[in-house]
Order: sequence, then structure tokens, then C-alpha cells
Amino acid sequence: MKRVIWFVLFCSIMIIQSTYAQNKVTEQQKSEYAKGNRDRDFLKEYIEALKVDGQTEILNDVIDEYLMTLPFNERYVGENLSDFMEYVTRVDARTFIDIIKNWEKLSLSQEQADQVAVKVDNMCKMDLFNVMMEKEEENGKRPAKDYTDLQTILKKSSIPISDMRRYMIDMWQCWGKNDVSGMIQVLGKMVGDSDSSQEYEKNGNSLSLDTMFEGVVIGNMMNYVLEECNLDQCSQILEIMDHAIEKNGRTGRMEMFARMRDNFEGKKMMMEMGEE
Amino acid sequence: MKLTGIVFLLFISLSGIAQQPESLKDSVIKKWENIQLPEKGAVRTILAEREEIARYLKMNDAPAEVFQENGAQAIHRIADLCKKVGEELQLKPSVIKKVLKGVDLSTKEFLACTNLGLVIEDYYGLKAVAEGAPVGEAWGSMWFNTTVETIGNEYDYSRYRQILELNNPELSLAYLSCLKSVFRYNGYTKGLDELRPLFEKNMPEGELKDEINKLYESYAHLKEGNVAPAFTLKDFRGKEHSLADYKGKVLVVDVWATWCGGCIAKLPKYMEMSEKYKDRDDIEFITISIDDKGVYNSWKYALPRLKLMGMTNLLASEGECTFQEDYNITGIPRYFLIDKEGKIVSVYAPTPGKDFETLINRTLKNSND
Repeated sequence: MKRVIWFVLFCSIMIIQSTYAQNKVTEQQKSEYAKGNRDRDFLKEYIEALKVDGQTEILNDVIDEYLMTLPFNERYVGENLSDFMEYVTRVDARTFIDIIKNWEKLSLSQEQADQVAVKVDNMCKMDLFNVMMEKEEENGKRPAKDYTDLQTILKKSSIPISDMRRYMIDMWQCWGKNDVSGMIQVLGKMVGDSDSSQEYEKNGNSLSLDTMFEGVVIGNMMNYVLEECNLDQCSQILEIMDHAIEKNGRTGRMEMFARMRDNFEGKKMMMEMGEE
Repeated sequence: MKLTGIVFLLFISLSGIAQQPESLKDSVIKKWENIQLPEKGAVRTILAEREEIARYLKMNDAPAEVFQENGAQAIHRIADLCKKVGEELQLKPSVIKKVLKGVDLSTKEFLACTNLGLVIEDYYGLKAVAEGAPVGEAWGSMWFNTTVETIGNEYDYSRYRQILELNNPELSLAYLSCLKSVFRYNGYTKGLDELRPLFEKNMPEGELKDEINKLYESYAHLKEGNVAPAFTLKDFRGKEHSLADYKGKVLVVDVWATWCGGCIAKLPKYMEMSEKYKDRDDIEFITISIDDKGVYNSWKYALPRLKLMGMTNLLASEGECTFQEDYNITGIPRYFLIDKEGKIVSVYAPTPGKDFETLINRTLKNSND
């Protein structure tokens, strides 16, 4: 009887150990991935091991590589779509671009399509925010990242991300070129479009968080415009903002723009006093 | 037998013997809540009610705590009436003494009164009226300083003094934690300075005393008559301005920020006040903003919008200078008045208005004498 118990215990330990060893990321997997092994089966095993280890940062890249090895019709279905939704977080991921580019060809249910669009929208927002925060740390005046490719594919894609996100990227790109007039043009669309200038209607929390992230990015861009604009441009901005405030009131995002408007009004007054 | 038991229970409940002190106290409070005062003879009604309730309590052999509550309730009602009607109530000192009689702040039972802080303030407010204080001042002015005043009056300090003089440790502990707010909103005032020896002597040892003593120490450098902490700050043109530059002039400072709605609301009053002294060359009005460096533009461009371009406006961002620490800026708006010698008259001056102007005029007069 005693022998049987010891045998069962021994077997259990072996099974647990082997299962554990199977799932854990090995040095060999790391080294093979680093050497460029992109074999589909190897990547799948590596992903499972990374998930068990909870190495989510590396998962962004490995899942991105794995999904791109799959034929397009398999790439964003079932677990693959779930992996994309959960682990792909960087806008430079190939799958991120792939989804935007091939939006029309995707076979997604309406619910899935909505979720993917929201994710893409959030990824754009957070990337702009993170780059902006890095810029703040470096105390630089110009944005450190060029979004030309993203801007181009977004223009061609029918993916239903928010207009605000598109405008933010457009304004960012003008900023990179020191194009104050271009930034003012984008601002006109941003505050003129009632959907963009108003708040999200989903719930209170997403409103404040979205407004906060956007506020940092837009606030920094508008601060640049504030510093660089001449009297005519300043007057133009005031006209745009006054019109938008009259149309939408000082609620939601408009409150953020209205505060910016006050700075332009002050600058205009200073310029008229000959202080600038 | 059954009938005897029912009669006994009925007797107990009717006589009130079965009532616990807590429920007796509750019924006293309820009784006072339900009293409707006539327009004429309200004071007389309050006194009569108090007497009637006291008789009832005596009959029920109520504990001292409930008698104190009854007295406190009467004081509170008379005080309310007094504050509402004002001087026209023409309360005679003898009547007030009658109201205050029997309420003994030196007892343990008094400490059990509901809304103890308010009762204490009403007690001393009425006492001050009986001693001839105007009704508008008798309750002090500490507690509304963030919107109306920034200095208390002598009646506030008189209240603290009288409480300490009673030498009732529990009362001191229950009420005097308010001294922390006095420091926070009023700084190291003359009143607090005069109170210190008595505070040292009669305040019971412990955490609260240590905490208030620490405040005495950390605010000491901002006492009236001390040299104001030096500062060198920049205006929007980048020009540096030091406190020393204003030597020979009385300096008035408005400490504000663009995010502070209260500060902005009071700026026109401050400007209005400065206008009254515009022809004098022995006084200067300036503003110092504590906005962060990151919102420099918001500050700079707020200046013309808020019509502040006519005076010197300086920025004292946190991390860029020690101004905020040096002057214990824990809330704004704050107003400073610094004399011609660079000494503090007040770094917790009243909000722009009559009181502030009186203080400015007195400072100007003293400097010129």
C-alpha cells in the first residue's frame, strides 16, 4: 500500500514538473527567436510559454510576428483576434498597420469590428500621449516621432476610428513641419466638427480619461501655436474658437478649447499693446 | 397577578423612570427642535421653555448631562435669535446671564452636549454681548476668513483664552484643535502670540499640544515685525524683481494662480484698491502667481485679460524658487502687507476691502510718523 502511495506521488510530481517545464520559456526559445526563427509552430509554442510566464511586453512582438505568418483569412479569427486585442499594443506593429490597411477585407462581426476600431483608436491616442510625455521629459519643442505612414494609411482606410484621432495625427504632422497655418486649419476642423468638439457619450469615466490624454497632446500642440502664431493667425484662431463655442457651448471638450482660447485672447491683447 | 404586572409596567413607562439618560437627552433635543418661537417675546418663551424642561428633568431625576444639554439648547436658540435680529433684539446683560447660568463649561457633563463646538462659540458669543460687544463681532470672525476676512478679532482670542483659563483639559482638547486652522488661515497672529504663555501652561500635554507647538515654531518667522523672507522673481519680460527693490515703499502683494477661481474673482477688488493709491509713490501693489512653470503661457496671457498689465506681476513656480515654502503658501488667495523697512505687517492680510485698506493706511501712517 505504501509503495502505491509513493508511486502515485512520484508520478504526480513528474507530470507537474514536465508540464511546467513544457510551458516555461526556455533559453533556447529566446535564442532561436533572436536568431530570426519565425516558424509558425515554434512561434505558437513560444507565445504559449510567454503567456504562462506573463511576459506581456515581448508578446506584442512575438504575436505580431506569428499573426503575420498566417494567411490573411486566419489572422484575425478566434484566439488570434483575442491575442491581437489583448497583447498587441504598439502602433509600429505590422498587424496594427495590416488591420487598418485591410479593414474592408476583414471578416468581423459588428461587435468585433467596433471593438477593434476602439482599440486602434486608443492605441493611436496612447502612442501620441506617450511620445508627448517623452518629449516633455527631453524638454524638446518638436515632436520626436513622424506619423506619415500611419496618417497615409488612415486616410485610405474606412476603419471607423474617431475624427478627433485623425485630426490629432494631422495636427501632429503639421507640427513636425512647423506648419502653424496647417495646424490652425486642422484646429478649425477639430472644433468645427460637433462630434469631435463634444464629449464622448459612453460614460463619465472614459470622458475624463480621454479628455486628459487628449488634453496633454492637444494642449502641447496648441501651446506651440500660441508661441509661434502672428497677430493674423491669432485672430483667425479666436474666430474659429468663438464660432465653435457659440455653436457648442463650453461643455465637454469645448471647455478645454475654450481655456486655450483665453490664452490666444491674452496673446492678441499683448501683441496689440506691443508687448510681443 | 397579571393585572398588577401591567399596572406596574404602565406606571414605570408613564413616570419616565424607565427612560435611559440617552433617551431623556434625545427627548430634550426633540422638544427644542419643535419649539415655535413667537415674533414678540421669543426670549421670554425660550427662558420659560428651559425652566419647564428643567422641572420635568428634575422630576425624572435626570443626570447632570441632560440638564447641561437643556441649557446648551437654550443658549443656542437665544444665540441664533441674537445673530438673526442683531442689536435690535436689545438683550439685557441680566437676561443673558440668566441664560448662561447653570451651563458649566468646567464640567465633564458639559462635554457631552451635542454640537459642542457651536455651543462653546454661542456661550462665549452671548457672554461677549453681555459684556458690551457689538453682536456683529461677538462671535469672532475666524471661521469665514477664506471668503470674507483673513484676520480674526479679539473675541476669537478671548474665547481661546477663557477656555484655557478654565483649565478643563478635556474641554481644551475638544475645542482647541481649531487653533491649527487659525494658523493655517491667519498665520502667526498677535493674538496667537499673546495666547502662547497660557497655552504652554494650561494646555494638556499630548499630541495636540505638540502639533500646535510645531505650528508655533514653523510660523514664527512670519510673525508681525519680522523681516519678510527675501525673494527674487521674474516678470513676464524676464526682468528680475527682488523684495529689496521695494525698500522705502509699503508693499502690497496678491498671491494668486490662474487655476484659482476665488483669486481671480477677487482680483478686480484688488485692482480697485490699488487705484486708490495710484498717486502715491510710497506704496506699491504687485501680484505673485504660484502657477507651475509648465503653464507659463496661461499665466503670461492671463495678465492682459485680467487687466493686470498696469502693475508688476511675478511668477513663483514651485521648484524654481523657495517663495511658496518661505511664506507657507498652503492656500490662495493670500495677501501680504510689508512695511517700508521690509518687515512683515501681515502675510495673512484681509481680503481686499475696507479692513485691508484700514491696515494699509495705518501702515502708511506709522511709516511716515
